[in-house]
Amino acid sequence: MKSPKEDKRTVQGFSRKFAGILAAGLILRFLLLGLALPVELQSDEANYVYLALGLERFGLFFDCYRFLWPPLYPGFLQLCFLLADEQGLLLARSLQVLSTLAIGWSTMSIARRLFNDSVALVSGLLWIVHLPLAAFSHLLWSESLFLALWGPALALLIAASLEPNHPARGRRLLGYALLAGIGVHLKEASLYLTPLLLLPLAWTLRKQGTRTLEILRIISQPLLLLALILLPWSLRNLETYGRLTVASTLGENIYNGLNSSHRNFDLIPVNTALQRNNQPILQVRASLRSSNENLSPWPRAEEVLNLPERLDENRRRGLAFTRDHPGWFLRSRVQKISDLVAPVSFMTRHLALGHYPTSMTRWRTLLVIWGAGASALTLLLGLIGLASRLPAGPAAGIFALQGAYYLAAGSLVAMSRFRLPLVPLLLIGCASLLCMGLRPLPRPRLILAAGSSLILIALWIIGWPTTLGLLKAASKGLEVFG
Amino acid sequence: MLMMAGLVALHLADHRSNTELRAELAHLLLPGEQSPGSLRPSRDTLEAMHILLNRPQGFSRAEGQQLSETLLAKDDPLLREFALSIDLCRLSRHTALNVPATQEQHVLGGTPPPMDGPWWLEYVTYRRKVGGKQVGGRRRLDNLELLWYRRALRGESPPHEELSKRLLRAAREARVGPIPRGQ
Repeated sequence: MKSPKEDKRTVQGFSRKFAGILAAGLILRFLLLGLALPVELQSDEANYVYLALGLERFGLFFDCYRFLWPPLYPGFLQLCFLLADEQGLLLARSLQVLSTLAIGWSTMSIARRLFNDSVALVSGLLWIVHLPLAAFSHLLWSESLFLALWGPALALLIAASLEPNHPARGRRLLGYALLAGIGVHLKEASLYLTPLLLLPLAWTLRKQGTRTLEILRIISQPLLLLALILLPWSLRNLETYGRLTVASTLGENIYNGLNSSHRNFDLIPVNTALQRNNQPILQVRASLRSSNENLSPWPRAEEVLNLPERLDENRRRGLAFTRDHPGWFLRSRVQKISDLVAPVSFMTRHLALGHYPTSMTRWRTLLVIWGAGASALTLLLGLIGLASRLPAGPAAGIFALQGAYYLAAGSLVAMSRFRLPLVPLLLIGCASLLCMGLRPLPRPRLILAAGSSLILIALWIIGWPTTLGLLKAASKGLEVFG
Repeated sequence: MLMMAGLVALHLADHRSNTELRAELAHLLLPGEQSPGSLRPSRDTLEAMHILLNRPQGFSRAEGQQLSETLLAKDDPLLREFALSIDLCRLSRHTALNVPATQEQHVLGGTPPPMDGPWWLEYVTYRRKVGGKQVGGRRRLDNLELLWYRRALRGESPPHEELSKRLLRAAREARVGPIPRGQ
């Protein structure tokens, strides 16, 4: 047994390593930022900036015609413009890099709670070198800020769920609701997930014999706080658009995801550039192409003036199309999930499109291999680790629900960006596998690990033509690719 | 619960009906009404327009067309720019698939366009908006255009020669292929 003095030394040693990992992650991300500047804007990045300029110029939060986005990220960019004017985007990128400390901290914190110090430290080391995640800190998507809130929120929820009788349970749950609620204003995708993730806690309390009314009381506190955080903006939307909603993107996502043509957003801008250069575009396998069924695409409901009503109509058209073509629906979901787990990232896409300066592109081959390798290994080892090592109980429920939720989201709109909220969890799974290995394990766990990794590999094989094409384009640059 | 009830109460107290919003905007909506001098539009005016234009049944296409013309004829640059935003561009189309002709003519109809700071603010508001060509958006904002926008806010004009080249290239590319898309 360790003496209190030894115990203190162990804790101090862990804290030093913990802080060292965070510092190393921060240095790498600032280094990447330095190499990446002046990185060009692409797609939604420019859209967020446009909305921020509208906020600054008119004091109004415009919609995007096809989306009603949540307001916080354009608001963040507007604040950066107010503080730093021409250097506003540099400030935004730097603040995002700083915010990633919360992602690293929460990843290690969850790993420590679920496993041990070693797994926590290894998951931290993996967080440092996960290049696609690191690259998002200098890209102007809301992912970094969202994960900086979502990670700690999850850490608090897992703590509350694992220790449901701890005196801090109430505070932890309120902290979860506060951070997750603010996160919804950055990325509304987590809107339904936030209450859903309280179910494992309710289940644990039920198993302990807690009365139903008491469970409802415990669960209702974070839910009420969540509602309180979401209400003001929802009321603003009610006043403006006649709809009580935080944000609305489903209608457009259904247009993209439940329509005849396959749209993978990792590929679309690259294919557009290839078309401009009169080069062959990157295509999914012929057997998975919807064109084989001669389906014509359904159009957006452009004739409907009110945005939420237009998005509702898109949703209706998409669901009707799906009902009419169930075979196409199932087949195209396979391709979409394959796109979700393809070892590419938006950094790969930026490299292919030539959006990075030469300071970054001189390392392009290394970056492509590093990024693809980090994605592939994290997915494969993370999945095996989680399937085999994650302790049964509420945390496993939380991980499984989050995995299923983002898998469902990713099976609607195909792109690698949608798997980002799962990366910290996969890093923990990966670290647990590296530290603890596969043995001794019960047979069902081994079967689960083997099954999930085989499915992943099959999905990679399905998506291989486009993945390889994109990686080649990124490692050569579109100007010489062909 | 009390706080939520308070928020709902505040919302109900602040709620303005379409009729009330139209009354607030009478000086812009009714051609005969007098504009309040050369005062800059208040934040309330812009907000009232924003709400009315986005409400279900708040505004018809014909009214949108008329309001666009009124605002684009104003001296105030902010009102002109507002007429080029998504709020009015979505309404001023004659059919669902046309471009907003009034706005298109205002921004790009002049030969050559003025290409000064105020024009650049209008161009970016109109041409770089999110939503596609139906609402006047073409391509997306890039770093250099953003820099010019920031400087135009301070009254500086974009460099004439560089801007000319860029506009020519954009016109050429628009004829060559589709608009780059993606998320």
